Amino acid sequence: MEDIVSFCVELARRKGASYAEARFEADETDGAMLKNGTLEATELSKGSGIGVRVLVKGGMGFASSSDVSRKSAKEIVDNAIKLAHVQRKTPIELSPSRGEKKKWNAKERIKSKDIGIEEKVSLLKDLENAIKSPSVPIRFLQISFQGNEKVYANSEGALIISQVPRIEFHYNIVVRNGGDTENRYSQWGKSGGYELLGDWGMEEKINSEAKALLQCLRKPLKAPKGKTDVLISPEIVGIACHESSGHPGEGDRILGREGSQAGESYLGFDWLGKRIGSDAVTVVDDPTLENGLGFYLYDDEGVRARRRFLIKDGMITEFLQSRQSSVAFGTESNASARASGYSLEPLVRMANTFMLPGKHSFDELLGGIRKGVLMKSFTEWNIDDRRWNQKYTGSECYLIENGEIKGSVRRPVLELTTKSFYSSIDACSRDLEFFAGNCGKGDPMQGAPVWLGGPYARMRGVTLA
Amino acid sequence: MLDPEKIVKAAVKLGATDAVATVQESLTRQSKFVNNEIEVQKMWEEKEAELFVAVKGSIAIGMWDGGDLKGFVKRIVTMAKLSSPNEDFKGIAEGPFKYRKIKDSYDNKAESAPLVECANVSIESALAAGAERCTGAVYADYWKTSMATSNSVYAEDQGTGLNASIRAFCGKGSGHSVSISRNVKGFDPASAGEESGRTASISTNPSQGKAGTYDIVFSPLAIGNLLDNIGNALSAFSVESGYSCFTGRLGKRVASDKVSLSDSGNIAGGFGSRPFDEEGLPTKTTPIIEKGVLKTFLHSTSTGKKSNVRSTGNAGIISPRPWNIVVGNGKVSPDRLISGVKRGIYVTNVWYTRFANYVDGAFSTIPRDGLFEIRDGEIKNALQGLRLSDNILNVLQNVDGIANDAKQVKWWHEVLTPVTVGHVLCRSLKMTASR
Repeated sequence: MEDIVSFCVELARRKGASYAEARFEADETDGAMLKNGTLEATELSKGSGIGVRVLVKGGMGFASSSDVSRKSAKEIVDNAIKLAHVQRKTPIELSPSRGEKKKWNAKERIKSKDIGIEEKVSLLKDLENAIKSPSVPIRFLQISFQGNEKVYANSEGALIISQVPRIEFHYNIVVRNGGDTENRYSQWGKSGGYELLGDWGMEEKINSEAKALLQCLRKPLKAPKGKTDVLISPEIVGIACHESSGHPGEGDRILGREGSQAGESYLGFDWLGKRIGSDAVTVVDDPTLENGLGFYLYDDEGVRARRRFLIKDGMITEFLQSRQSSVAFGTESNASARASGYSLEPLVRMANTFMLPGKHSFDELLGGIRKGVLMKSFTEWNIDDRRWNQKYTGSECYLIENGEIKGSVRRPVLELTTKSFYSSIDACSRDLEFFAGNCGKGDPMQGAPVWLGGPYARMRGVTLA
Repeated sequence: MLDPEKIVKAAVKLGATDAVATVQESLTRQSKFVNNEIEVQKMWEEKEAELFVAVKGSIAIGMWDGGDLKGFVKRIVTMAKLSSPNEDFKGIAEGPFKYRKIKDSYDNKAESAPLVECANVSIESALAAGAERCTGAVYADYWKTSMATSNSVYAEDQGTGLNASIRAFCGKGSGHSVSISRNVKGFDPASAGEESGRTASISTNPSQGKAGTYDIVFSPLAIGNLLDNIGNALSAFSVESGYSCFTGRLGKRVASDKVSLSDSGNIAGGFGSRPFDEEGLPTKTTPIIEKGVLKTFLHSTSTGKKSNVRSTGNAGIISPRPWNIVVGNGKVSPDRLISGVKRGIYVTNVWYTRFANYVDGAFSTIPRDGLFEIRDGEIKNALQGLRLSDNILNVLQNVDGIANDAKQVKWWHEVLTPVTVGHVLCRSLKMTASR
């Protein structure tokens, strides 16, 4: 496929493109879904194709096809060039890439595609047998094994070839006590091979969560209302960082490129160097985390990946940038451009977004709370499209009194602004845990595999409902 | 081999006891605009095949989009053979069937609609109505679908779609509108622009809203979001697994008697209309809620047999789904609805709807774009910073009026299934705010 992507780039240049890139991708995913113990279906999806993006006299065009023949490649290039002919007041520019040539892949000791579907189904069935019970009447378990191969070339000489296998697992359970229920959804995922499932600990995790939710249904204590302290888990910290630090920090969003669908941002040019939170808060996005679900070493514009500091010691430090968005900010791409398939243009995306751990143990954080709540997981969350007003409804939550956990509390709600969230954190634990997610953005929608995570963080004086 | 009959034949030869193959060729074009300028133009040409296979009840589903199709079919059948039976699977529809063409669903002019012009017309209308800047996209879709099954079904269809989504900004205000149509005649990007620009221009200085219980008037786009979620909860797959707030409520009152809601797979010009469902059964219009009473769920042949009812033509063989959710026209004008509100809020759009519990229906969603106080029957100042935090069954049960301005809406992933509805008044819903 190197020949065909290079052919596309050269042809586009000959036809007048000032810049051209071509990206071949082949994806294969297999998996299975169990619903309440019944194997609903096994699934296989397989696809491949080429996408070409060009700049012609300051306009941008993108065309793609699942036909990767030379004849089709010519048509794709012709279409992209034709589409780029639009009148603009300001020409679109891209900051430079270094034209690197690299082959990279995620490590995979046991290839998932060598494991038969029967074994993958058995994995789910074993888990089902371990978690089913009369008090967990609804159980959805879905697993998928993905393989992505990519060949990317651009007119600056870049040639990046990569292979990334991923595993994603989603579970959805409902716990029942009489007529009352609680719902729990979560996701596990990593980049890498089948060996990653060896210690995934899902049986213990789901059973423990179900037991905790049942306790919550049976004997909930009253959560404190009004201003209180809340100890949030890595799961809550992760989703908050993703939603209120990563998303608003996307350069293209700040420039209004996603305004119609995914929204804009409370951040702007004048926010760099401004305070959003306490000194205890440092949030990074790092594609290079091995096994991270958002793992990559080069982005989909041929730029080498590195860790990005979105917030450092409470200060807005850096935005996520593509080659296009970085021009407006007078900077270079920090390798944040990803596309979720050959037929989609690269957009600014997060990869593995998390708060850096602090210096304390969990017990120290807990011990410093006279009256408050431990929020271990959430059931509902949302945030406004400027990423300012956020809400988390707790799922597994506990009352804290005088530094001790006293019992379960049911669905406490944290509804606050982004600044309040980050400003209220006075300390973080030494732990670091990650959770998987599929981040949605773009028109058409692109789902990007990501990690979110962090330590335990203690919030002082926030209001629970 | 991109011929569904050949694919089915190959699957049966390999051992499939049921097989459904759907082949779709499509061409999609997009002009995306940002801050009043065309940002990028895109085109996708796709040839996809979807294969459903059962081998004595063991099911495998495949999606193919490039590469060795023969090898793919072999793998799917092998996967089905290697897995265990789905006891819930009761078979696929037995054909053949006759299909009626869906009126107003294909327009060859739509295939070549000038998207840049459409985008510019939308932008200009928004600016003329008071917007300062606009962002959005215009799409033209063409598709050709053919399907065959091992139960003597063969079906073909082609369709077109035009879709404009525009969000206009003015100061701190914004407005969002859409125009969707299967043909050029019904496509009106200028009106979408004008509506979004007008909303933006009157919402420029929003003040922080107060949490509380309000009567709420929803625009079609806003209520469309909630109805889309309701449509998903009406699938027999969700219901019989217990994962729906409608489980156990068949025959019972689930909404106010002002609410009648159907799914229509064959409505003329319906953006989701198609002559046949995913097992080749002709689609139809199915009343789901009639004057507040839940009459049926959405079924395929298999889910229907399990519940001793007939399919409603909504396969998804395993997971039925809605095609077009239709509430249709109410009796009064939107102004009349608003005039009946002493203390309330007018919501023009919502986004990021999420559920705390799909079983009991607790959810929240965030009003976006123009949000206005209603006082003594009149729209007053613009608001911001509120969240609708309530229960989806309350939304249905508290409907106190549906306007006569029904419009078809579909927006991104916020209103994924097309919904036809007018403005809706719901009494006493809870709004919360950041503390």
